Amino acid sequence: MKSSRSIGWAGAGWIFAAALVSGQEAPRNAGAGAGFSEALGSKLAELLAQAAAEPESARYAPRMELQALSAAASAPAAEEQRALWEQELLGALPQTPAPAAQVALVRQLEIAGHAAAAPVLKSLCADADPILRDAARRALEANGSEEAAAALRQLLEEAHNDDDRMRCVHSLGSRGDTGATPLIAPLLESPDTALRRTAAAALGRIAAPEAVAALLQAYEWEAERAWSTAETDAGKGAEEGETRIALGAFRRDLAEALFRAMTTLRKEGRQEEGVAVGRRLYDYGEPPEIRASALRALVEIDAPSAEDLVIIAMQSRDSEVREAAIQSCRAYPGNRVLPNLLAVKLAQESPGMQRQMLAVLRDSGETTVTRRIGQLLESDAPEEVRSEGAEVLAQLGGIEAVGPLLERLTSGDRQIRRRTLGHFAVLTGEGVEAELLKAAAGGDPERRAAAVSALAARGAEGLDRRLLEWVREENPVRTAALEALTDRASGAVLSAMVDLCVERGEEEDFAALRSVAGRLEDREEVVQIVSGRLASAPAERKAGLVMALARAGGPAGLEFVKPMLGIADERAGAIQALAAWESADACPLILETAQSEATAEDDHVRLLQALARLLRDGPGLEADAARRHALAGLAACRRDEERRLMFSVLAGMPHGESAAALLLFLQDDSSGVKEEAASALVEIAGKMKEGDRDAANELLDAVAEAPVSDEVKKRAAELRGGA
Amino acid sequence: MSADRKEATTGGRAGLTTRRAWIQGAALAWAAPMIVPARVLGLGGGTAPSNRIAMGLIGHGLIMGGHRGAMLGREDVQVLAVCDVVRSKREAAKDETERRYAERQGSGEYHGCEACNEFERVVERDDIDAVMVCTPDHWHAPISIAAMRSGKDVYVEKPMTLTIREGQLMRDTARTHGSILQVGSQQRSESGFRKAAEIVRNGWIGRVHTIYAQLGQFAPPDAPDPEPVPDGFDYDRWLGPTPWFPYSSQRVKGDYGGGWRRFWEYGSRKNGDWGAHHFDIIQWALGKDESGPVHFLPKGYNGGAHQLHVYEDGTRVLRDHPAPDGHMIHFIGTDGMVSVSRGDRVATTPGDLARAPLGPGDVRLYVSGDHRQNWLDGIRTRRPTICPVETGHRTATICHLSGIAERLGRPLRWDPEKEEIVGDPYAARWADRPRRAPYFL
Repeated sequence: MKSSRSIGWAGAGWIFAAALVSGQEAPRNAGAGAGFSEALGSKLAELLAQAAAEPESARYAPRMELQALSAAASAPAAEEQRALWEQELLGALPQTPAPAAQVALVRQLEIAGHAAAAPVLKSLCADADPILRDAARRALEANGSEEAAAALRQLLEEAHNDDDRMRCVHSLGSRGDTGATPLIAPLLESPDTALRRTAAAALGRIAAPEAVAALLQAYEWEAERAWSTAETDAGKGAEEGETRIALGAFRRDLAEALFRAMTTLRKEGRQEEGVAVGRRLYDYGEPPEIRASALRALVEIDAPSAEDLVIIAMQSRDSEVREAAIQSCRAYPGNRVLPNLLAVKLAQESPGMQRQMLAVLRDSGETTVTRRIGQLLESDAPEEVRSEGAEVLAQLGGIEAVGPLLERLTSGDRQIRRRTLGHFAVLTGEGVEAELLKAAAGGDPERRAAAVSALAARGAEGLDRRLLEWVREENPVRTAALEALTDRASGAVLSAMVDLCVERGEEEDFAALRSVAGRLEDREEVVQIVSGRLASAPAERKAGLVMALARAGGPAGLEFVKPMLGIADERAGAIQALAAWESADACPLILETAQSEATAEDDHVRLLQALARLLRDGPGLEADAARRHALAGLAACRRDEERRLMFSVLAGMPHGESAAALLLFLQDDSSGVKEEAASALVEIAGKMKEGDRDAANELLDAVAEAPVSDEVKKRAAELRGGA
Repeated sequence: MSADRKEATTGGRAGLTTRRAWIQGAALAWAAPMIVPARVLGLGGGTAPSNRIAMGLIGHGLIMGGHRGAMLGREDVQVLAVCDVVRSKREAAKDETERRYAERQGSGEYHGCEACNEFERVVERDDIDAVMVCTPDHWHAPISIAAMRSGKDVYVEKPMTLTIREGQLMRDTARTHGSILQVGSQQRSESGFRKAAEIVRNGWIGRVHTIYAQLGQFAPPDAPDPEPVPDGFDYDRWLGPTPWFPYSSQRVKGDYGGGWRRFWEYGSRKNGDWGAHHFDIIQWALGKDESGPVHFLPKGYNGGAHQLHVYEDGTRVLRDHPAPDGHMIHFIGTDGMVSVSRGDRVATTPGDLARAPLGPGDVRLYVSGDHRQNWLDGIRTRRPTICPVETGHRTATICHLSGIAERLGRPLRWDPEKEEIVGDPYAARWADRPRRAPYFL
């Protein structure tokens, strides 16, 4: 071992390493260092041997141990320890012939190597093994010493081919090695495209004044060359044209390098130099995409000084530059001028650009632009743009947004209306509500109606009283108010709606009344409010009022329907209400009414349909009660259509009584009745077969013997087989 | 300067930016079919080809399966090229693309999708507007940077980069070129994570001081025994800028439970794979999207049972500390807690915070209901995405620093403003990884 000098043992990381190597406590005084160094050397030799062992899978653990040692050695404030480790590594290299071990060793130098490693790594960069060569170059690149930089520069000077030059140039660039600038700059003229591009990128990263100057000079040359080639190529064939494009590509590489330099200059606090580069690239003679990127870079490097450029760029005839200007406005949070300038230009731009501008305006939070956006909404811009504008208006808020959004509410398009109501729901700003109330109070009826809807969408406080006034007006204000009231269902609203129905009694009023009654959870309240006005209501209004009771459902309301059935003028309305009743409590009264001979044919059908609906879907009925009602309903049927309706109800009630009732119809005169009864029996059998297979088979046998279609019999037979 | 001469200096890229601007406007026509009936736009009543976002899909492993299916199902996107270093994968992707488009056209035949081995062929195409980059981590930055320099918008899978330096370069490139970039940290587009972040950001659980993030564990990396490189596999290009190792199917395998993800050479293991999701949400919740923690401590340091990073105000993020009900992320504040997982699972103490609406003065975070859609919207409006380049870079930085601390076995101090490792020059070397020739940035 070469290195056995004494060192101080202070670093916690090294203590860890010591434990890893020797399994014993690390020495803590200088006198104990030599023994530890020997142990370390032995361990290194052992690990390097293992790092080249076969199979490959055996190499991982020693590589990780080596890395742990390098990591520990390179801990902060432990330079002597790191230097010892570096010496151990360098000393081991000549005794490490296996390429895999050499690569593993070089990797440690990449982690922990410094000045002492540079000459060795430089020599390895000329090794015959390309993998080791590249590993050594990477280790030099990571090495922070000036010696490593010098080694890379020498390698570049001594390189025999462009591939090697390119590697050195890249590494020097990654290091930001200013000293390499004079060596790299001439390579911008290299005939090798890849080397030229790498040189440009490296100089951009170095960003020393000379590097930037070289890049700018090359950029000018390329511009000149592109111009002259373009002139020379005019009217010539494709081959020359391709050459011209290739030159243009390098010019773009140079521009990229200059942009990269601008970033470096900004980070190094050399803004002025960066701005000078940016201004050159932003020159009017440059291609639009270069100018656009230059503008962005200028804003990035010094936003305040670039503001004027942004403003001017908004007027550019090149859409790329205008787009960059629009996006650059995001770099000026709180600036009120730029959003307003954007807003002024909004109407003049293409739809695509308008969308971009709206997105910027939305994020700016600047409320003074709302008037301009409002104008866009009222323009002939595509709906997609106007829709986005409406959304932005809603987010920015403010009184100026009210008018244009109201205008959209009157558009008549259901989707636009729905979305706009959503916008009103979130629209903030002082005076918005007052403005809406003002709009609702007078003027164009369509606009008034829109304002009423908007106020309702916002859930404005104390609105009910106004809505109840507006429902007494003419359409469309009335309709808007009725819709709003429907959404604001409450006992007070219901009560007022009842009054309105009694007083005016138009179908629109009753529809709203039914809606409100259906939305209130407290049925008793509905019954109390509606019934309270029933007695005094004119006969022609009663039918509409009891329909509200039907919508609420429940047993209490039926008490008010029952007496109406006995009054000739009110009977039709009562039957209509029964047919619409929302709860199964109505079944007995429906049956009783259906059984009455006084009930007309049409009403009879309607009542049985209601019965079927409640028995099938209505909540709150016990199975036995439902079946009893169904059987009674079947008995009350006057026509085959009604019977078939009840068959379908009974089919969902798997019980002996249901089956018995249906069996009677298997011999009916009507083939349709027989067929439906048989189908219902098959359905019942299917439901019964799990619990009572014999009974199910009996039913299926009856169907099989009945004079019904082969199709039904076939279903019965299939089920029988399955059963 | 005459128009002809000006065009001559710009090369093909002028056409590119023109197309980008045009797409933003033209998109309106098909986006609002009530204005312009779709049938007049061509292609059997669908969207006109020229109005679609032309897309290149790069890297056809596991995650691209979902992206590709989604993109092929969209009327507003046309996949023009697919790229993978494995021939069978790119051919399968091309076949699927052409079959789906043939079905869409109803003609039974379509031959408009190019299959490439080299991503450069995709990014250099003037007729492509955007690319999705779904390669292993070590290729994210090189491809994304090349694409942005060619005027393309980018969706790049998480973590955004392999190194901190790559992230800085990506950020600079995106800013200079005005690129719309979305990092595939799709948890930001899940309402549950947004809600949790809003609860934290608005102080509903008081001052958050401790956070648990569940990343899980991969099997340890190893050195798999060499195998012959399969026919049709460009292994050198697969390795790209990373150090050379002999080929092994285990090394290159796409596997959410391991594969290439468990090797340090191609990422930051679980810190990159899941840290990119959960650390990202934590950054969002803490309002640190343009900053980051200041201390990173590896598991085992000073006997610590958990990997840890600490923000300037003392907020600690512990990796893999058990959280209630197995939640992915658990925030503990002075006045309560919030836990959140995928599938919009949010639990809070007090228990009703997740249902409480935001008040007028509350912070409302960026809303996205669909991560891919958010990117496509950004392409058209140029509005920054929900996970733009700076955000992706800052999150990836946490992933990388956690990994570096783990590999070095010592704590790191980080200056999020200067973006430098402080007081440890040898650790600072790890902020980048020297690149294997000739795969330079």
